[in-house]
Amino acid sequence: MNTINPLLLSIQKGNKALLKNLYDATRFVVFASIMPYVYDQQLAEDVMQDTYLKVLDRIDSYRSNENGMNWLLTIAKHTAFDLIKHRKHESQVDREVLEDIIPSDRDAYDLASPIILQAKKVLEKEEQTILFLYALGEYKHREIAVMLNIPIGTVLWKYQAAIKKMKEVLTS
Amino acid sequence: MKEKDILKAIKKVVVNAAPTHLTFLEKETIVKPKSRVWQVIPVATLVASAVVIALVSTSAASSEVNNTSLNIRRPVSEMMATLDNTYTLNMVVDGLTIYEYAVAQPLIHITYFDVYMSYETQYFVDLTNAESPSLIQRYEDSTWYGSTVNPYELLSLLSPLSFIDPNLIEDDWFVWDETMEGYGLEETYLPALFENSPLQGVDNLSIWMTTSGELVIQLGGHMDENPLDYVGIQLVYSRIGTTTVTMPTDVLDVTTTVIDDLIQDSTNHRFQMTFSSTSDDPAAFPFQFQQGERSGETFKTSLYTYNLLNEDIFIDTYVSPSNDAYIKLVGTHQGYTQTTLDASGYEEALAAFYPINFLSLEESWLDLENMSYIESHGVDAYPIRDGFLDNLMNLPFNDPITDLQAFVRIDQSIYAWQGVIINFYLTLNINDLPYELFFQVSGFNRVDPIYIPYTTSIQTSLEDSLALAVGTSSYFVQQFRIDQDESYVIDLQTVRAGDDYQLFTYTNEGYLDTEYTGREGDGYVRYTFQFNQRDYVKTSIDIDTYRSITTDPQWLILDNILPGTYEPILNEPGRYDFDIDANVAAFAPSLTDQYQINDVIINYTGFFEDSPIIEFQINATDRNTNDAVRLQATYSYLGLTDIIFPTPQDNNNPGWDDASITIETFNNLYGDGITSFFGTYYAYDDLGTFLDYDVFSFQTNEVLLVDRSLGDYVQYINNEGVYTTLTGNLTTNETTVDVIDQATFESAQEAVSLINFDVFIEENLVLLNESETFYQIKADVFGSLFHLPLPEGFELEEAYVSITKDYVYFQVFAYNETTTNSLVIYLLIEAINLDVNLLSYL
Repeated sequence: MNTINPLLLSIQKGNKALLKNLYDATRFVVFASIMPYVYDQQLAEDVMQDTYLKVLDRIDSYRSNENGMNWLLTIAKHTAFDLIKHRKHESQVDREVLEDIIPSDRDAYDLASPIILQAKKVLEKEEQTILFLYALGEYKHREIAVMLNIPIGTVLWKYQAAIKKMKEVLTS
Repeated sequence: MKEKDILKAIKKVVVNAAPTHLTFLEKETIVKPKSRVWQVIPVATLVASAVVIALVSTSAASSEVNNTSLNIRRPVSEMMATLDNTYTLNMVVDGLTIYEYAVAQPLIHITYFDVYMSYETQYFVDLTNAESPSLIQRYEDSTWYGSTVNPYELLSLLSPLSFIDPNLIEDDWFVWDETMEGYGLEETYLPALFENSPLQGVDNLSIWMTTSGELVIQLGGHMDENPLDYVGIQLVYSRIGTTTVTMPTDVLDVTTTVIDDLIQDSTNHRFQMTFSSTSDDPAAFPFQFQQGERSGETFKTSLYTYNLLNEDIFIDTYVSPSNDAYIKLVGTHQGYTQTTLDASGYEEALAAFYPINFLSLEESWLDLENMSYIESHGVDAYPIRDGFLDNLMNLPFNDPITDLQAFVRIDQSIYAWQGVIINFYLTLNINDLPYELFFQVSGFNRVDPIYIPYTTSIQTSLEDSLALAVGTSSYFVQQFRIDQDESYVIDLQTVRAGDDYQLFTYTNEGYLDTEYTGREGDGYVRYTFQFNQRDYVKTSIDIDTYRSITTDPQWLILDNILPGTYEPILNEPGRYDFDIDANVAAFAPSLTDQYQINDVIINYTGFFEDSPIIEFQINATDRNTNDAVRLQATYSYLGLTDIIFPTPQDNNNPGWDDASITIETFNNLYGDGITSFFGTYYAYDDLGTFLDYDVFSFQTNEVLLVDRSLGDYVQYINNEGVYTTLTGNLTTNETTVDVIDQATFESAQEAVSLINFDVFIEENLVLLNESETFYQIKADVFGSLFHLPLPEGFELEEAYVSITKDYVYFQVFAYNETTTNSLVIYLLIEAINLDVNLLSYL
């Protein structure tokens, strides 16, 4: 259900306290959308934090006829790019190395979990985004197309391609 | 691994890894009277709820501040001792006063400033009866409401008064700081001072007295959740000994019943309801949770139903005045559907809005003499008299309700948005099965204007939209076959604008391909993309070919759909039953040749880019396999499409000639390996800026590297085991000769070996164009095939190669996801195994 637009409009009208509601309603989808761009949990959390701060900063630019989720995910994606750019001089852990250094008993449910590393390895960024969003189980392909502002056909195709690649790599 | 298992595994990661809260949001909660991270209130402190003002009930004697003889350097204990039972405390965060406490024991007047919302809530607390403190509250200029208050909530509201216990303070813990003219607390004493404080995480404290007699305590600390976030709070004590508190008059006491005052003519409130079966009977009605808000004539409700089949159903309903009528918007998982209501329709919708007829409730309905204890909620409440119960229920069930018992309790929350709360506790039977119902109304006159959500705004009818698509011949049609695992397999994706079509297809490798087909003059043309030329090529086609590409593949002939042959489905807004017998001519042979049509539903709820979406959901049987199949044809962008044919560029590149050979032929030709070649390497960024232009040579006894941009070159020579370099510039005659070792020579050889020809084999390439022997290189061999001097941060994305008997020509696309810049690299390898000296050619 689209509860995002009214939340954004209310925040725009000054009800900043609703940012918490916005966060609760969107944190999974925003997190899923930035996952393709970030490799560590700390960076992901920083992106999340900055994304919602930017929502407050830029709320005046939100237009009532705009798809709120698309507006939010665009901010999130740009925030991810910005933060990665700022940290490009910091030592980056190569993803292959990352796999080697992750202890086997590490919590399987974080960004370094094998399935996410495999997805990052074999899927294009957009394929990852579509797969991660669909995996939430809350959105249909059509809704994801609207969220990402891309044709439904592209979403369907990329989703199928992503699943196919994941099946192959996980089977092998 | 199955698809659903992959999805489940990913979902677990997202749900686990997504932060549950944001630190800056938690920081924000410092300004709110809610539970907070930084401001931990240990249960133990609750014991002291009656002594929550312990801060001021110290053993120190009252000490009126005498400004004329103010000694700002007096000992800390002495300064703290000036705080008696009478003072005003301002809690300042980031320079803004969030709370002001005027304390004149046993009365406290609190003003809470919502800095974001620019409103204030005022509270008066009377601690005369410490066991049952009373609270009077007013939000903005609303009525004063009085009630007893939950001690936990009160503790939260008053906790800043208990941040520091002056009894614990020892003067020798503090060091005088001349610069700030105040005292700093030595860190080692922090744990002792804050051990039992509701404030945790403080790591520095300063205290000073201003020349006007205000006592300032400055606290700094880090939140538990994010140690990097620093928070500073100032507690400013003023009007010490002179603060007075006067309780307001005209207070509505909600501890008695003031139902009539609250409810009469109320059009601004919110409610929530939970309805649950207390039996395990599978025939019981499902669990329901409903929230509603009303602000004047506009109201909205969200109903969540969770049944025994573990199915979640959400229905949102908005009703609002619109022009001279009303609109009703119903949102389900299928999208929003909007209808227009007249006045009677609006009244009907409003009547169905409340699951409990609470607006009818009158004080006389309550049996005030028999307050009962509601065990399931641990509260006392008034029963509703038997004679009034029949008028109370408004559940959407037709089945008779029996054994109804209902109790009402009125509370007040310290949270401004809730204010006075009316709670209803009900038990009832429906069809002899027991249920519980909890209904709560709050927020009287505190509900903000309700905004209708972004809507599909489908103001047109299905008939209009079909007529629009047919009349304009303008739409985007997508056809899918839906697998059992709900995967959509694309059958057709094409944009139509009049006689012109843009068809989307995908190569076997999954890359999007687009071609254009349309009318040009009296004939028909087709534009197909030639990968090797990276451009479209136009060809003339006949009408049969035109139809076979454009109209024939479409399953439905929209022109032949008869108006009135589709009927709305009851209780499924936006869905229509499509009469297949009446519309036989609407099904194209491309559909009926392969499938037996069983039924068709039209879904008319979607909306995208200013256009409704018409979705034909077709259940059919495959004539060949006899399998049941689900098909879907979706029409969107109705009347909005536009097609512009590509403009092919002349391409006279003489390099693309019939000397093309396959990879197989190439490897046969050079079966003994590639031992020498010339190479040309150049790269552009996505702005067209020339980044690099090098020419190099790899020969048996020579390696040459030439920077064509500058003209500098280095030639590495192996003359029967004597290794030298010749360094120079193409524009001058000056050269330098240096002796080098074999390792340096070999290193130079390695540097110009940009292609590992060992993996330049058929299985690592995908043929895209047979006649041009143009291949795409599989991404998984990028690492082993290419040794390109990529700028930092770039990664290869796509690569293509053309092979001729004279050269191989690579086009490589790289992307820097940090900077989002792209790079195109061209690499020409020629003069293969000719073993010649390049320098003489330059």
